[in-house]
Amino acid sequence: MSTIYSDAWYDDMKLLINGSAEFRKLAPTQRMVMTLEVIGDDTSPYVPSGSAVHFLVVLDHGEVTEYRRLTERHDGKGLGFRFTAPATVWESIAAGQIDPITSGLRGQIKIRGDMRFLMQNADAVKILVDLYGRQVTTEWPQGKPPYAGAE
Amino acid sequence: MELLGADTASGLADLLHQFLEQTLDASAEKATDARALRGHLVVRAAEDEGIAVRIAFLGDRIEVSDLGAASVAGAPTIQGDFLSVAHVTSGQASPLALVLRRQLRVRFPLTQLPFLWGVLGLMRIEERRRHGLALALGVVLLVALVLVFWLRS
Repeated sequence: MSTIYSDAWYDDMKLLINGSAEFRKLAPTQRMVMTLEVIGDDTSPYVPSGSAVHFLVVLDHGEVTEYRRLTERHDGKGLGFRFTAPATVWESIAAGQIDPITSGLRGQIKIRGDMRFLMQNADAVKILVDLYGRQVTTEWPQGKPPYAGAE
Repeated sequence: MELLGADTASGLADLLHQFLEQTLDASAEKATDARALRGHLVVRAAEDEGIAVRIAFLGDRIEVSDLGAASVAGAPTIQGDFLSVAHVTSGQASPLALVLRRQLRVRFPLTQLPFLWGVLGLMRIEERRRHGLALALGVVLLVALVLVFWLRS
């Protein structure tokens, strides 16, 4: 068990993805750098309003080689994708309570990047985001979503 | 390319806007094809009935806008989940196969068939590569035929 946004949690996520034979089979072979931006809101007890958590995910030959927290927002150099959403949305996905694809289609998650690459690798993207929501080892010391006061 | 109501746009509208913009930026030929198209296409998400996007091909520009639960009279409509739409646009599946498997619903007046065909060709990522492959095969066949006749004579 690892606490959300802790170093151990990032390591667990990396192990979870790399342990998926299905993802390995469908993942793109080229290197892909992505950043996930967790924007603080008034509801999440983990990322308060006015702050943000940024993390980096690097895929290379079907394997996650990096999954770690960044000290600041990625400057965009060499970046393939930027996924941005309020903390409550990311945490609800991590808790398996909302579907990440539907959240993306509704615009709760903003995506910037090569959409043609995204379409070509949609199956791998689906597995990746499902894994994010399916993981059950996260500890929520300040409570798990749905949070009181969330819409 | 313009995304109407960009600040409040759905993710599907944003995704299709970026996708079309990048597709046209990458190919002058596709940009020319797009300028020849006139009509409206509606893409509706199977995951949420309330998410639908209208893509208006107006000649000199393309407008992408959210439609919600509304419809556009006479416009072709494609409804499918994210994976099915992605498989069609990336050339991993034919629209017909997905329609037969009921993973994609396509409705259109017969008069709109050429427009729909044109838009699907425009959005299909692998289309040009297939044309290139067909052209290469044609050239190889032609060279082979010329060689056969030359050797015979």
